[in-house]
Order: sequence, then C-alpha cells, then structure tokens
Amino acid sequence: MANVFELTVLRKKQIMHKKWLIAGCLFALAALPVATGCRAKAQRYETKVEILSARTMGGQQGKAAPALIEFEMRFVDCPGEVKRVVRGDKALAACAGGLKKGETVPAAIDFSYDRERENYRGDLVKLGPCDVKLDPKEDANYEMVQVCRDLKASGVVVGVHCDKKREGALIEKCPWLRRI
Amino acid sequence: MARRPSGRSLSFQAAALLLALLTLLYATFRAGPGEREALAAPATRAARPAPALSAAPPASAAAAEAPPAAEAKPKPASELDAGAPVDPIDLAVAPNGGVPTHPGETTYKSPFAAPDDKPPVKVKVGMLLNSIDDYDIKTGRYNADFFLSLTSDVPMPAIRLSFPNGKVEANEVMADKPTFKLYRLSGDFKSPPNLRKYPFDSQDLKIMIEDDFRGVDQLRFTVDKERTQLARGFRALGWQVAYLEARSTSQSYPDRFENDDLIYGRYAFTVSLERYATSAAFTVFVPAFVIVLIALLGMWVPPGEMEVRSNAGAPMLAAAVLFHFALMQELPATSYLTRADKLMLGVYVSLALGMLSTWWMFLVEERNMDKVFVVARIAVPILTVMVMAAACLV
Repeated sequence: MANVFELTVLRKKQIMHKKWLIAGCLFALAALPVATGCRAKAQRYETKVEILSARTMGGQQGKAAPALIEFEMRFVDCPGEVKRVVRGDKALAACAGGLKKGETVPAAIDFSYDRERENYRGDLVKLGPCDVKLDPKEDANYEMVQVCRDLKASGVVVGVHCDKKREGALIEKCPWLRRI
Repeated sequence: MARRPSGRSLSFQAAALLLALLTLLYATFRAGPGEREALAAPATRAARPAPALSAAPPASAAAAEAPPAAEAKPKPASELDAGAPVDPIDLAVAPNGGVPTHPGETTYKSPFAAPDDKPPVKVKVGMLLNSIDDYDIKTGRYNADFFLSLTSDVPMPAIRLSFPNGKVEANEVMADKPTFKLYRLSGDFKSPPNLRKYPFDSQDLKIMIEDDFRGVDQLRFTVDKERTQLARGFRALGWQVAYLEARSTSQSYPDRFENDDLIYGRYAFTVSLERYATSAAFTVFVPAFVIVLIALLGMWVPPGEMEVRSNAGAPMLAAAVLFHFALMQELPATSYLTRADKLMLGVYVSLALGMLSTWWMFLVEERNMDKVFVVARIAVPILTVMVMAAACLV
C-alpha cells in the first residue's frame, strides 16, 4: 500500500515537472518572436541635413521628368564630418527636385537591426517634405563618418588625424550612426 | 581505501609538467631583443649619393630610384625641372677636390641644397587609399593601392618620389603638370607590427613618401586635409578602420659625406586597423578558459579515484601547449609578451595549481587525504580565478 502511495507521489512529481518543462518551452516559443520583433522594430530619429550637392539624371533637356536624383548631404547636428550620398528614384526626383545646394532641411532616419548584415543601420526615410525609399542594392548610396582634428608637433600643425570609429560623443549625439 | 596511482601515471604527470615549464621558458625567451628596432631603423638610401657625386645626370641610377612618372616618361633635364633648370649639385664646385659646395652663403652646406635663398615650393599631398590587401602580420607586409595628388601654387621642381618603407610596383601617371600631378600607385609596404595587445591589437600601416634628392630648402610636403581619405567601400578583411592620419615631417640622416647637413621632407600616411574584438575573444580567450574550466572539474574527483584525478590535468596541459604553439605560429617573434602569452601563462599556472593539489594528496598520510581534498576543492578554484583575472588584466 505504501509503495503504491510512493509511486503515485513520484508520478505526480514527474507530471508536474513535465508541465513546467512544457510551459517553459511554450513561453520561450512565445517570447522569441516578441523579442526579435522588438529588436527589428525601427526607431525613428528626426534630424537636419545640409544639401551639399543635388543633381538629376535621365531628364531630356528639361522636357521629361528626371529618372534619378542624387544628393550629397551633411548631417549638421552630428559632430565631425558625417556625410551621406543618396540616389533616389523618379518619385523622389519629382518631389525633392527643388532642393538646392546649401539648403538645410529636416530629415528622418529609421534605425533598425539588419539581420542579413548582422548590424544596425539607419535608413533615410524622409528628406524635407518628401518620403524617401532607397534601393538597398544601389551602390551609389554611401555614408562617410569621421571626426578630424589637427595634428600638432611643438605647437605647429603638421597634419590631420581622423577617427573613423563610431563611438563616444558621435553616437551620443547621432545614435543612428551606431553599427554594433 | 584510496587507490594510489601507478608509477607510469606519475611519470606521465612529471613529463607534462616539464613540458609546460619548457613552453613557458620558450614563450618568454623566444625573441631576441632588438628585432623590432631593426625594422624601425631609417631606410637605407643607397642610390642617393651615387648620382650626386657625378657631374652628369646619371640616367641609370636615377631610373632605379626615380618615381614612376620619370620611369614612364623620360624627359630632358630642362623639362623635368620647371623651377630650376639643373640640379643643385650641378652648380656646386670643388676647387680643392672633395665634396663640392655652393659658392656664397647658403642655409645648408650640402651640395644637394639650393644654391640660392629662394623659398621652398610647398606641395600639398592628397591621398586616397583604395585598398589594403594581403596583410601579413608575421612580416608586417601589405599591398596598398592608392591615388596620390601633388598640388602647388608655383611650378614644382622635378619630383623624384621614393617610398622609404616600401616599393611601388604598379603606377599610372594620370596628370603631370607643373603645379599638379596625380598618380595611381600600387606596391608592397612594410610596417613593424605592435603585438603587445594581441589579440586585441591594432596595427598602424604606413605609406611614407619622400623626394629623393631635394631637401626642405627646395620642397616641402604639406598635408592636404580635405583630400586625405579612404575610398568608398574600403575594406581590410578581418579588420576595422580605427583612424587615418597624415603628417608631414622632416628626416635627417647621419653624415654620409662631408657637409651632409640637408634635411629632407617626408609625408607619412597612416591607416590604423583594429582587430574585431568579438573574433579575437572567441579565437583566443574562449579556448583558454575552456581548458582551465575542464581542468578544474578534476578538483571534484574524490580521493578514492586518485588515478582519474591525477590524469585530469595532463590532457588539458597538452591541449594548452598545442593551443599556445598554434597561436605562436601566427605571430612573429617579439621581445615582449603579448596579451595572449600572458593569458597562456595564466592557463599554465592554473593547471599547475590543480596538479600540485593532486600531488599534495600523494605526500600526506591517507587519513589526511580528505582534508586536502576539501581544502584543494575550495582553494584551487579561488586561486585559479585570481590567476586568470591577473593574466587577463595585467
């Protein structure tokens, strides 16, 4: 009789253990997409850019609308030299064609984790009043980040030193530049 | 009743300990001092004095040291030198024989110095580095491909570029005007690696440029700050760029002849590459810690299983020695310990602690073995943590 009782208790314990195990697995399964979903969700940052150059391509002597537009811009709020070259399609050319060199316009950046490249990236999604949708496969899109200072020897400027690492004040001020 | 280990087991342990000691000695003294210094010595300029001593321009010697531009398009001396029609040495005289000098007052007495007090031509040097390939940390050699631009306000004298830390193999003269020159150059260069922080090291790869014949009294290199950069999509496999640096310096040499007092300008471009920390940690630190952790498991083998306990550390010691040997194969000989060497020293000391605790059990009476077992199980892990922490931080 006692043995039967002990076996029953053991069986109950085993069942409870299994229940906890199944619950744990289910929780992990449920939490995984939530966690990855949170990570994949883009965070939007508002900033300002100065247009350094703007040129359209593909228009026929002003008669046809340009097929492409390329901007070189500088992020004015970021320390150092943060520049980006972006090439947009016909829609962007039609909307942002009026932006001129030297103009400072608001811009929006979507900052998210890129699973394919396994690092973070900041995509320009708004330039002035225009929505921006850049082709990720476009080689012309390019970003240059550096913080330069004069190199001195005995009080005389002898050269230049440019930090290329994205850290410190640069990331504090412009978090969308972070890559890892 | 505790089982005593066999004589064979003991001799195996002794051999393993001896092997570890030999490895430590090898790691400490594997490099002869002065090896680094040899790499840092100024480049020899064997070809320079030869043409200077001859009155006529020595075509063959000049060609050997001449820049790619001169090799590609040989021109008469009058055309080559836009600022001065002849080389300064051709104007120097030696009435009493010996090294010729310039008559009259000049800042430098060297026959290569300017014979007059004309101000030097300031040449702005721009550099766009396209790529760094085949970087070999063992020899410090790498292949660099870059654009080099020289810009001045007044016509430049004939430029004969030399590369003190390398050799240009491919060149393309894209512009050769009196006040503007543009080259695309590619060649092998060498910079001594600094491995003190290996595997978390960063390496400064330099490209140094000088004019072979003209001193700072005729030609001064300055850095074109706006045009010192990396090409789009610049990549160095396994490394990330930490910083770029360009500086103009001057370089003097010990006297090679009488009145050898001329100082030469030099442009030095540096790209600093940093090893990816995650990769470094996984390839060096993780294996070392796994070896120590597995060896530590032996501390929980009871005194009754002395044979098992005494053999727990030996395979890990062999693994540590092999791992350390593999690491050393990737690096050149150094006169100092790298961070990885210090880590491995920590691993050897940790393994030795485990072995010593086991040997302690052999030395005490059987009735005291349990006490030793308890003490070792507490003390060895604590000491191991301290040793490994010191090995990582020092």
